[in-house]
Amino acid sequence: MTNIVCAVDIGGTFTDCVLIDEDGEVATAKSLSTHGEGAAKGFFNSIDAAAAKFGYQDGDVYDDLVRIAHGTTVATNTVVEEGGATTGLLTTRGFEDTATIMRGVGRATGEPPENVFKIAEIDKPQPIVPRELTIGIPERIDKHGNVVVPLDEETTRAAVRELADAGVEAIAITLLWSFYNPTHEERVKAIVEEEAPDVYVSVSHEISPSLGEYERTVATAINAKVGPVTASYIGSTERSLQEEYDFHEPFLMMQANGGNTPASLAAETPLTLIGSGPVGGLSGCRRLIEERNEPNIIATDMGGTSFEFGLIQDGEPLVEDEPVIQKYQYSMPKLDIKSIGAGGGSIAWLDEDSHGLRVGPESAGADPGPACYDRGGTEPTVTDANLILGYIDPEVQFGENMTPRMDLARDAVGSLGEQLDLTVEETAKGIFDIINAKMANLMENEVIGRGFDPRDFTVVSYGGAGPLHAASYADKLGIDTVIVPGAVSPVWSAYGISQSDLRHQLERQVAMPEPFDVGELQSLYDELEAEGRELLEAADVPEDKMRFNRVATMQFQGQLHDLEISVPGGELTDDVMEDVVARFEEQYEQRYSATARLPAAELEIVTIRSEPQGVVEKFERAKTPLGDADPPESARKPSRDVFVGGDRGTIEVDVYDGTALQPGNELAGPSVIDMPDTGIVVQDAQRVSVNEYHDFELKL
Amino acid sequence: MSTEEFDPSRWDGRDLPYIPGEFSDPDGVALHDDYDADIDPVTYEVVRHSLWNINREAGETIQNLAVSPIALITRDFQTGILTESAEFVFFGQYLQYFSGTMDIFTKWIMENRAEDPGIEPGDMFLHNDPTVGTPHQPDVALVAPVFHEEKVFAWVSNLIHQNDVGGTVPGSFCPNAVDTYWDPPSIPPIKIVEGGEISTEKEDLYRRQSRTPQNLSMDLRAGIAANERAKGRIEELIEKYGATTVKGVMRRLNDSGQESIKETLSKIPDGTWRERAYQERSMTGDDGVYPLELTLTKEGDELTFSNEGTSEQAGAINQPFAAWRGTILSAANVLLQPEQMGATGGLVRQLNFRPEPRTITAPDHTAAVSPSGIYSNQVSLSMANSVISKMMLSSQDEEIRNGAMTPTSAQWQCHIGDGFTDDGEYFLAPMTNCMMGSTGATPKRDGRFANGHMWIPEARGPNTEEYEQSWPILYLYVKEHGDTGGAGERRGGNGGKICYTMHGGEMELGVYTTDAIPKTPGLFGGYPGSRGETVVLQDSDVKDRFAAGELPTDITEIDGENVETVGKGPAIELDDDGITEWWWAGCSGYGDPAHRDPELVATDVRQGGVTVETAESVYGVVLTDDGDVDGEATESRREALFEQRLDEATTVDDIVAGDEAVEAGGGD
Repeated sequence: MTNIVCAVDIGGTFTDCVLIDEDGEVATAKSLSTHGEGAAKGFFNSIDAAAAKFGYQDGDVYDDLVRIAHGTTVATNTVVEEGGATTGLLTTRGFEDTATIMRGVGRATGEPPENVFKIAEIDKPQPIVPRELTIGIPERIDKHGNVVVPLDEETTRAAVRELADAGVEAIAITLLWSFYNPTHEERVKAIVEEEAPDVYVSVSHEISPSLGEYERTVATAINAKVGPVTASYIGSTERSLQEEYDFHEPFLMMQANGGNTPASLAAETPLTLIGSGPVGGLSGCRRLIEERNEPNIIATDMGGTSFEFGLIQDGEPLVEDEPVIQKYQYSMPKLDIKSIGAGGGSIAWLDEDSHGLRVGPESAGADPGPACYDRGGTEPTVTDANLILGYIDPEVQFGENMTPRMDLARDAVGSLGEQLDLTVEETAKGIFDIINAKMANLMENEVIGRGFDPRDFTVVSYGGAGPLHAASYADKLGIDTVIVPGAVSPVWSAYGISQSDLRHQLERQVAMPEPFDVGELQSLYDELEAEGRELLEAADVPEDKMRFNRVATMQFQGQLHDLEISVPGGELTDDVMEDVVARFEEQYEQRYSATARLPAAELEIVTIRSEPQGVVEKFERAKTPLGDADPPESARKPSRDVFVGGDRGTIEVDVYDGTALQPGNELAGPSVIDMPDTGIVVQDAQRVSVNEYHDFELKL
Repeated sequence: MSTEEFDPSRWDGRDLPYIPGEFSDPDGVALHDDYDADIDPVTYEVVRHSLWNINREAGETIQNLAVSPIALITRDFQTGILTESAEFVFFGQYLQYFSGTMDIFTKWIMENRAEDPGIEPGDMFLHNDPTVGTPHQPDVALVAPVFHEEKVFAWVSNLIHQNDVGGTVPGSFCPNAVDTYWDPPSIPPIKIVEGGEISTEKEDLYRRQSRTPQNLSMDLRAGIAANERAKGRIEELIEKYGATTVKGVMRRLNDSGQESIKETLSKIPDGTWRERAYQERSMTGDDGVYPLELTLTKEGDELTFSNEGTSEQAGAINQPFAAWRGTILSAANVLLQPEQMGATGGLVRQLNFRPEPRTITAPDHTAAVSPSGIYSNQVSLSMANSVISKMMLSSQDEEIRNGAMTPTSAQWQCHIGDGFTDDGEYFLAPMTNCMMGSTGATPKRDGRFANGHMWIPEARGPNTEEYEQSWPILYLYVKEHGDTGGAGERRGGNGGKICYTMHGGEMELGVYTTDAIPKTPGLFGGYPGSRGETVVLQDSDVKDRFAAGELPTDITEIDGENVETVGKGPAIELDDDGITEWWWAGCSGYGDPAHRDPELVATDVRQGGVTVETAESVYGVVLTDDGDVDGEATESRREALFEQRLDEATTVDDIVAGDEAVEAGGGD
């Protein structure tokens, strides 16, 4: 009998499970994802597979689980695949076109920069709610929250019936200024519940209580669209856990804000799950910070089609307020994860005008995939280049029984090279260097653009293609340490989910100019914290595990961009607020230079936010004492030719089996470490050591 | 710019607008022009992408720091990186017509400021002088040299549209301006930053003209921060890759851009394409009509643009030469080379401009130009869009033809008010809902309502709640305006309409837009885009209607005293119950509407984009009571339409005879 934390992360292809017991022993498993009606099957299969590694059978592991935390893409995929519930929208009369107008920027939103000028080519997305299922109702509230036109309940009732007759499965309600005065929205919700009790209801002041009717409408409509399918998935999984496995401990869902939430709450606000996919990995890095006592991390994840990264600064991941999905922008704090089309499948091509080599953003994806996959792809990709360069083990098996074909990779890269007058190896090295530069540029933009110095950060690299490239893109930013998680690396995201606390975000728009009304701020924070306490109590979080972080977003009056400043707990005084202002000014100058600040400019607090958290029990990963610096013989593989370019061209380098290296081992570049789903390329003058968690640390 | 057959010497930026001649080493400033011609393809791509990234980062800095609402919401600003001799390297995805100005004013600074007061590291110049090269006075430019080894290696620049820089009308678009002395002051390039320090005395001079001086100071700092960032990052790039390599990449980028546009032009036959449009009412109180002409001549791999036939400069409807050039570059950049991601330098080399002096589109320095952002820039954008699209549609290459678009709206409809909130705070309210925009049709695709504008690829409109939060107004509706997209086989995108009423406070409407005629030309038989209008009711019953629980959705449902509006009319102070509706226009159509697939018309009607009446009268499509196409009735209706056209057709001789009759009668 031991206590075990379980996390399950469902991705497009695989469902990952990680189990951690109280001694820090870890069992991981990957099983194929299942979709549609039987979506929960993959969930249970993955738990069984991991449990078997701990010696459990017949579901007896559930007796020892103290919680299950779960990341699912069901909500995200529903939006991406343009599926979900048939949804109706009730809004203030006169503003029925808000969701289709998209502020005029629907065409360009979320497009890669390569496409932004292509006005004749790119287009707006399909309407988020069809115009014919959008009905305006007479009511109006003004910016002070005063009722200008009372709600016409009869018309509202008729509108609900009309939508119900049209067969809607969900209704979104977004009225102007509802976040200041929700009474009309509350009343409309009650009418929907009376008239159409089976319809899923999503109300804007509950989902996204922030200024800007377009972004609020999108948030509410998306929540409605994904509501029924997500609620049904969560509900049936939770029922199976309770009824079939007699599991009654907390069942939590991973949210895009980097925290977990009880499954029942997630079913009401599934919007918070959208974009949670890449967040698990970032949460894993946050845990790494605690283990290593390093405050600043750039978490990088390079897969088949995209490169994603997030920043953790001073122990906290950075947050974006207006994420985008399918060209729709909405308001909801979400961990800020940037993405570009740069992955193993990114296609290299010739720009004929400049006779230059370009890479991406087009990707061969998984199908047909890189040329070396022998699935019909003929265009040269990053993976083909890595194979030619010797970075990928030519004998490796990708997935089930698929060994890459060097001849196909060489054909594809070679024909591009001929046009550039470069050898196959030079072309491959060029592809490698260019994709690294693109990733480095993106990171540089974000890190330096936010006023941070990249040299203060450590790069963590995971995802299939990442560790092959990490040393290179980190080096371009002047970063001296890269960490590649060891044993848990293949299920890093699930690991992160297992380590995440419960986390909510409650905010109020205040638009309060200087001088700040301390009493008013105090009572607003008190209100938010009381609300947060209720949420935590409902999830059975004990008092001593509750945390209430305070944040104020601030800007100079007139600006549209704000900075997040943390506000101390306890009693607010003028002195406390003076300190908050001083920290704002310091951040502003750090980010934009002292010249950029006009001393006479007036500050305002845009929103205040409370972040109630329930700290969950976490089991430390087991440590192994550091042993010999020399790798064991069993970790040595036959040496391999690797192309390094320059004067030396191709050289023979040492190759190691990453799974056989032991804590304490140290090795120097040039060398390659082969790992099951990836590999680490150690360049000249770089060193790698294996730490007590079996993680790899590269010193550049 | 080619200078053959065109003598730019009198276009010196003093009386006539500045047009640089053959540009070589100017006196008093050393230019770093060494470059490496042999750069491997990998280094080339790495540096190219970094330069693009630097320019983008400068743009993001402005978005984060600036406060001018027009600049922020509509992305009415721009950033650029230029070579030492002021050729474009990268130009951002923000407002496109600033492209006509940056290279020009940078050259002017080299010719006119190098010896006195000198161009040194740590300097930055500010200007808003349309004769030197800005689209109008509210567009304020900042440009800074990037030095390497005591030579100018490159320039970084930005323009930001300012809230108010003075002039007779709040917001600095002055429709009542008789000449430039009514306009906001034009400041030729001054060294606003010297050795890294802002000159307080020059900033004070600049601020003094403005109704919202604090905004100017905030945005000045935003612009400085953006240039500083771009400059610093270019210096890092030089340090990493070497100056001659970075310069070599800039050269090759422009050379390859030039090759690319030449390649495109080689697939288009030589020829001449023209457009004529009309401006109405040159200023408050005037009721004249003023033709504008634009001729594009393609010869080999060069394009030459002329404004021959354009009216003499008049009232407040003039457009600085640099803005006219910029509007043409905008259309060329977006339509002919969207894949270049704003690497504009190569394109510019293939374009020639032949302005007739002292005309509306190339006025001298005395002309009023401050409202050009509303009127003349838009007409010119629309005309440039038209001639370039016509040229593209003459190609045998399908891809080129499919990239053509019908013209963008020839008028930027807007309202600019100012007044006091209930708390007694002064406010200036530039309402840019029109940025939700509309796009034109292509041979394969209809235009789209609320699809932004082709000339600001990432423009956006406001939220109603944002404007209500800032100003004492309350909106009744913001919606699609049916039938306003030009009809056609592919129809133009519809425009929209907006209605608001006063809600506390007081406001005078200094700028509003009403057009008598639609000005946006259609292509190949497509109908024109629509016109804008402002409807004003004073002393309306709207508050009583609210109290009665009603929320009117059309201004015709509201009673009140109608105030007639005309284009560039005098300011109107809205009373407490004042209410106004205004429209933003739709784009024009492509091809004969009587050839449009009837099923598409039925869908248009179902979705509210086209009315039943227009379906029948313009498209010749008859629908059943259920909204389905009545095939037989449609066929006969279309036949009748064709016959009617033949009956009413006139010949060129008829038209000429008609014109002569008008002239003989002395009318206009």
